[in-house]
Amino acid sequence: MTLGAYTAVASQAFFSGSVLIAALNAMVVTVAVSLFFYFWVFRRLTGRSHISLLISSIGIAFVVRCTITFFAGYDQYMIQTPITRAWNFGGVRILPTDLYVVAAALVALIGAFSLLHLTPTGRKMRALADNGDLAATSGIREKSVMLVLWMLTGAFCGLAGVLLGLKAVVVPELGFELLILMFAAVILGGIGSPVGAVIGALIFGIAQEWASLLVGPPYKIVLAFIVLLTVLLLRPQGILGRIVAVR
Amino acid sequence: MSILTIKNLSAGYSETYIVSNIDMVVHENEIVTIAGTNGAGKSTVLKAVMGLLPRVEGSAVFLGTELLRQPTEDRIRSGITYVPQVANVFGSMTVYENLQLTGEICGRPQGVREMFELFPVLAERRGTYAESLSGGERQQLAFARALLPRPKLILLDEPSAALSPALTGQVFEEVKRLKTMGVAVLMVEQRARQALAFSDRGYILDAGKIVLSGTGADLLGNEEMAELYLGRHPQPQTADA
Ligand SMILES: Nc1ncnc2c1ncn2[C@@H]1O[C@H](COP(=O)(O)OP(=O)(O)OP(=O)(O)O)[C@@H](O)[C@H]1O
Ligand SMILES: [Mg+2]
Repeated sequence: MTLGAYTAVASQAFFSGSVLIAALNAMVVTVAVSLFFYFWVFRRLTGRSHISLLISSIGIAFVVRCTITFFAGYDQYMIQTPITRAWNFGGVRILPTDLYVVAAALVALIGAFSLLHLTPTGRKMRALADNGDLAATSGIREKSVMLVLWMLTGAFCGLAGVLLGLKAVVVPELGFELLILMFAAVILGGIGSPVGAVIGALIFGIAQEWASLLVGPPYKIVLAFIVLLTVLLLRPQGILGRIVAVR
Repeated sequence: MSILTIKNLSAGYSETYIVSNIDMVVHENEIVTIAGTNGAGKSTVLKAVMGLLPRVEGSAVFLGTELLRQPTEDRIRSGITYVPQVANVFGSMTVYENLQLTGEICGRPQGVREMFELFPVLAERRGTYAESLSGGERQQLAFARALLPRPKLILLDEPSAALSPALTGQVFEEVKRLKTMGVAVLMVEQRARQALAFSDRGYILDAGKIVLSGTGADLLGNEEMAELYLGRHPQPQTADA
């Protein structure tokens, strides 16, 4: 994500000011980097526990972040957007940029779900996630599916970075404080359930913003995590998660 | 005519072989049962034929081609499918999606409709997630998934596992139906007496080696051996089989 935002900044600086072209460039770069790390690291970790995958990905996050710092330093950057007037919806004023961000996120979300449910490759991905052994004995070639999966991961991360960068200052730590929140949202929704992750993220985000109204912004995360704890005490597998039987 | 000829097969998960020097033959349109005690290595033989084990030696020739050096996808394409012992359907996908996926993998999308005709129960439950099917329905879906690519040989690992005696009879009827469709079956069964009663031939495995083989009737007729390897008393459900 961070890389996506930086590529967008660089693309604007070196090629053109268009946000659209910047976003496309960002996605191309993150896809390439994602594939690189798949071949270098994750391909060798297939079959290892979730924990080793998680730790490796945190390690890779550090590598990417430090590499960015090496080239771009700690300076703050901005993704340039055309200056526009806020639109007025019956007293609620919304910036067009914000609407574009929401629209892009929605399109990406719908795209991801249609892909998972309506295409053969998507069905193979779900089958692999459901039961890797059965997928293998059914003749699904894991490698080719994983390749597509990592390309998609890269593309979505790049896009997410650009969307985030539109709203925030681009620094090497961009997205880092979000990482913990994303894990929390995924756990809340139920690990392995894409719909759950979306619901988890929505609940988490809304809980946070409500909390800042009630107790002030510095404590909003506390309240959000209280929501998380409560849900997990009641449903340890997460909202939509399935209980994985221990044999 | 034999379609699968296994010669001198040894296989395992690590350095030590779980099964060794296995010789086995499956003829066209035949039901062959592998019986034996828990941990004898019955599932291991099927996994070796399917290419799911890290360590395999010997030979397994299917319709004239050597299987053991082929990747699993190629073995499926050449006409063998496999129904594992546990978790043999994708629980988080619907009945329809399970079949649709299978059709896509083997390039026979029209197979979904054929399977709904063969297994009307599945057509009724097409929108149900496979994890909420009953044991019998789930086994039918697993059979349909195995049958859809039009294989010559189906490997079944304990199709009656975790089913009630009544459902066991039903699943065995399905196995016999596979034979009438011209498919050969190589099946591992815990309920060996019952399975051998309708099998053309059988092999009895003990500690990774074949200790006995013959026609189903021969194996059941050898009272001494049957008692040793198939349990002392005929299981009550054999009465109605
Ligand atoms: N994934 C595995 N890794 C290592 N060893 C295994 C694995 N699966 C099975 N084994 C070992 O292989 C041996 C034979 O297992 P196998 O599953 O072939 O037995 P089986 O005859 O099918 O028994 P059951 O009737 O219980 O299914 C067992 O001793 C078991 O410990
Ligand atoms: Mg077994």
